[in-house]
Amino acid sequence: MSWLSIVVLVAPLIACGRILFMKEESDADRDRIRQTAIGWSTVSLVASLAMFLLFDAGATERYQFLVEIEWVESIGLGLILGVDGISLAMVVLTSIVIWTGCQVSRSITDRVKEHYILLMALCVGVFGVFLSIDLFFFYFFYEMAVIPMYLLIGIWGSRAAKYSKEYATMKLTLFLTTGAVVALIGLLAVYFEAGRVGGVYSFDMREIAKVTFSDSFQITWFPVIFLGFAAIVPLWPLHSWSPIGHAAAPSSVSMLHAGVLMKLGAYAILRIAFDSLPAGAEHWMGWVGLLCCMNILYGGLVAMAQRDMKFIIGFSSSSHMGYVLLGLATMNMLGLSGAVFLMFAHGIMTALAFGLIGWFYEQTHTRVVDDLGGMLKVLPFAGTCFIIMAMASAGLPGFANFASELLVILGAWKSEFVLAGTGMTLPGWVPTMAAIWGIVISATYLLRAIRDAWLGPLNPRWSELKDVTSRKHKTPFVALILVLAVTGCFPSLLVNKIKDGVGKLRVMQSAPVQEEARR
Amino acid sequence: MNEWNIGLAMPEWILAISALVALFLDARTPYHRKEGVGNAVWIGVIVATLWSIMQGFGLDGKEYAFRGRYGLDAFSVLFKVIFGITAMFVMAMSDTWLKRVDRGHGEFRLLTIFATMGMFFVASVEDFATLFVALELITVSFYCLTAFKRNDVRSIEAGIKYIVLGALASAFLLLGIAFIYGATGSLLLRDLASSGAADQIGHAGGALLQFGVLLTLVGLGFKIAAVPFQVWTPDVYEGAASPVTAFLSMGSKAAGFVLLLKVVRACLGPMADSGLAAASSWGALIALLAGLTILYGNLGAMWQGNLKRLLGYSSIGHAGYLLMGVMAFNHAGFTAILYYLMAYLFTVLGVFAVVVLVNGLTKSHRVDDYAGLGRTNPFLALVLTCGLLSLAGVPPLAGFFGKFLIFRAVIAKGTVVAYSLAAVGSLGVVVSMYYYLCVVKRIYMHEAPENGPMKTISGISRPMMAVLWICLIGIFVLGFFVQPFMSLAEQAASALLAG
Repeated sequence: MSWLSIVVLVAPLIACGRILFMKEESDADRDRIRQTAIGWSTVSLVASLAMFLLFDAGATERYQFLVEIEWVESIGLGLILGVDGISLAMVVLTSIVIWTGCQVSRSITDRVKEHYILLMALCVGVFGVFLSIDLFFFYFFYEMAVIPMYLLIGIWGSRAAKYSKEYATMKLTLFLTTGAVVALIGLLAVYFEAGRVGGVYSFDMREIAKVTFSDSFQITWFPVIFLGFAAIVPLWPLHSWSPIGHAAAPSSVSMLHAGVLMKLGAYAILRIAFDSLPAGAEHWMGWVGLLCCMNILYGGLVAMAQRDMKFIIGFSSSSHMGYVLLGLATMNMLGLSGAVFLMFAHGIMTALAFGLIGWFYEQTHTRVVDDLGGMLKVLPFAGTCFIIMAMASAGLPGFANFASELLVILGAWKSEFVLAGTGMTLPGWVPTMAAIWGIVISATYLLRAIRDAWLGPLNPRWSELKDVTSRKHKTPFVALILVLAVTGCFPSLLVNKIKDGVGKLRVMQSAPVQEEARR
Repeated sequence: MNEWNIGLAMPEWILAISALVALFLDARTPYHRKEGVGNAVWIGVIVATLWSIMQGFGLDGKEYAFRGRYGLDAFSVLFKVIFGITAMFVMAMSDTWLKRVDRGHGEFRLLTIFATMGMFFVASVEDFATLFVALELITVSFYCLTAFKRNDVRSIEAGIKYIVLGALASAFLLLGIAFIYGATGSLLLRDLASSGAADQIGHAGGALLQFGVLLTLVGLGFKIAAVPFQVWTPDVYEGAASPVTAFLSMGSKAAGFVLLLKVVRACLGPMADSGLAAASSWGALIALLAGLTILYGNLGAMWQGNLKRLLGYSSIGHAGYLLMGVMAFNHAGFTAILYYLMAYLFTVLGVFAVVVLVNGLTKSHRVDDYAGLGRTNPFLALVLTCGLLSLAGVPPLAGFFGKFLIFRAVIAKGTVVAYSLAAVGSLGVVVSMYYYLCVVKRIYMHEAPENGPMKTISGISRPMMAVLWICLIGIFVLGFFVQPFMSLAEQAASALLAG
């Protein structure tokens, strides 16, 4: 069944090529283009769900659905695709978000053809990152995702408060490129060191995972790779591009960006930095445990001060990504699998949020909560969805966000964070307290947003608005809510598979020894 | 090795004969009927390129002609093909461009083929005398080509700048060659490589030789537009006609790199293998130049409002990346340079093809005047965007793999100098991303002003359309289906290292 991973990757590429040769002259043509994009994203979705069902969580081999194609033999480069428990969750997340994103962007009527070509190119990049087991192609797809996003935001985006969409998209692109290039230097250093120590120059992550690097090498190079990818997570204080980027993007791109692209960074840290440089991770992650508290609290507090809905969700995303980083920093099974699960849950949740905000922005042309008010009266369906989203985001039991944040917090409580270089240790309860306060803060700003925008007296300007009525418009929102609820009520569906992936990381295999040493 | 074997130089003979035929035709026809000249030149370049390809298939190791002063191996064949394709693309562009000029059609084509012939010779250079003559053939042709628009002050200015600085650089080169000859008693590159010159260069006794090599690098540094010999670049790029700029940025730069690689290989190459102390100081010098070139080019390009000036600065930046490969000093580095140049061929010529076409419409090279290109000319916008993004090094485009190989070759060194150079290089990548995207922003995100000159361009000639398509496809193919081109580059690099 290994061809499934090719199907997932190639379906958006085919859509790209197909749409390139379609004409866009009438509304019927535009509809046909949309249908093509939605159709091929459904293919990806079905294939990834099939992968999810067929994935064997107890298997001995680490990667499943493997496809290997020799690419450039002389430098040990091959197109190797496959998934483990971690990337499986991410692939499923991506395909769901893209499938809904394609449907939500029905409202785009200007240059539809270009829009879907770029959107599909972006999908190829994102799927490629999650499916690649080869360092070169990992980087290749990662960089490939950046440029379509630049154009998507720049052409179809909207003004974000005082920033123009061009400013927002340029800032985003430059941050991501800088991070990527810094990481590339680190990746190449790892490649050559692996060749020197292990004797085989190969970009294959499975080969690199066999090599044991010296501690000094790991401690020197872990920060380079980590910081390169942390810019996309985004780790405080490298986060400033992200809320502006979210706010300026058109809704499908916000969904994809907040839902999936931000996860690329955390995924890359897990997959590359943790797997190849476990001792470096052990050495430095204590600091991340400290910095992510800033993410959680600072992001949350700034979100409280925002009046633009997209900025609220944007800053709340960087706050929630703080939990993901906290999960990574714990370096234990609970925390790491919680982090991956949270990446999934948060991806679905923000996709829902941005989809909804985008939907009513098209009608009202404002996202500022002060201009709204009492919207639930005219938009009962959209409002209900929004409230469900807010509840999930604030960590209400029954949704995936609750389950995953709980895992992260439990993981954090159990571990302690050694601040390398200072000789100090941060006890586990400090970040745990930050995380718990973070939940309170997020409940505050979300409830305030609901109160100001959806409840209260109806602003007469909006009395003519029409709710989401047709089934095709409702589908994406309902689907996202269902996913959140199902994975929230039965977390083990996903967590079992994630745990399998996490358990096979090299960081985890050396962990028991260190935990004993600590006691 | 001591035979004349003149048949080996058949591509050059073909070019020379067709140039003479063209010259004869040019003298015999009135100024408004120069199609015959054009045809002679086209046929000459096409046949010469095909012949080079045929030679490439039948090649076994290295063959010599003209008593060892002319050599043919995989490296020279690869470059002859690159130069041939460059010349064809440039000729397609100049056919379009010449329609806007009322005189000098014959001379323009003649100068193009002379420069091409110089480039073909450069690829086969085996001694310093041939090197100098071939290089001057290119440079002198370019002196005339840059000053070709004789009613345009900027073109004249560009020509004068180029001629003054170019003559200075040639003088340095000649002096360097004299010093090298004085130190070793031979003009042959392979004598230099085998006579223990490398050993000498590491010792105090080799001062004469070292000085000679340094002066040679000055002369070649001018050709490739490396800091600190780069000042002419933006002005000449802006002033010269667009097809000439395209030829300059690809052909002349590649020719400079061919010679640089050959000289570096002959003088310093064996030293890198034997690991002499001097190698690291030369490596550090080249690394320093590479770093400065990258910074100068990319930081300078950020502020440009004229697309051709911007491309001029960016071409300085690209020279810096190519120098990073020279700094790596080994097979991986040379492979990277060759791949980078192959990628650069399609990328930069695609960009200039669009520039030529748009300039015909708007009569301007201002970046702002590209606003609305995405709506009025989607295909041209696509080619230009892919070209610029490939220059910036974005996957899956050709420029990305070139840059990747360069970084790979440098980081393989594993020294502090190498890592710092890689860091500077990555800074350059980010900066270049900014200014290329600023152009892309104009193309897609800004609308053309009402009543502005920007409208749909029709009547693009067939050869021009072919250039656009080949460049577009080339950019994607070299970015993704890497293996065949990679093995070409590897073979050529091996041939270069084998000497």
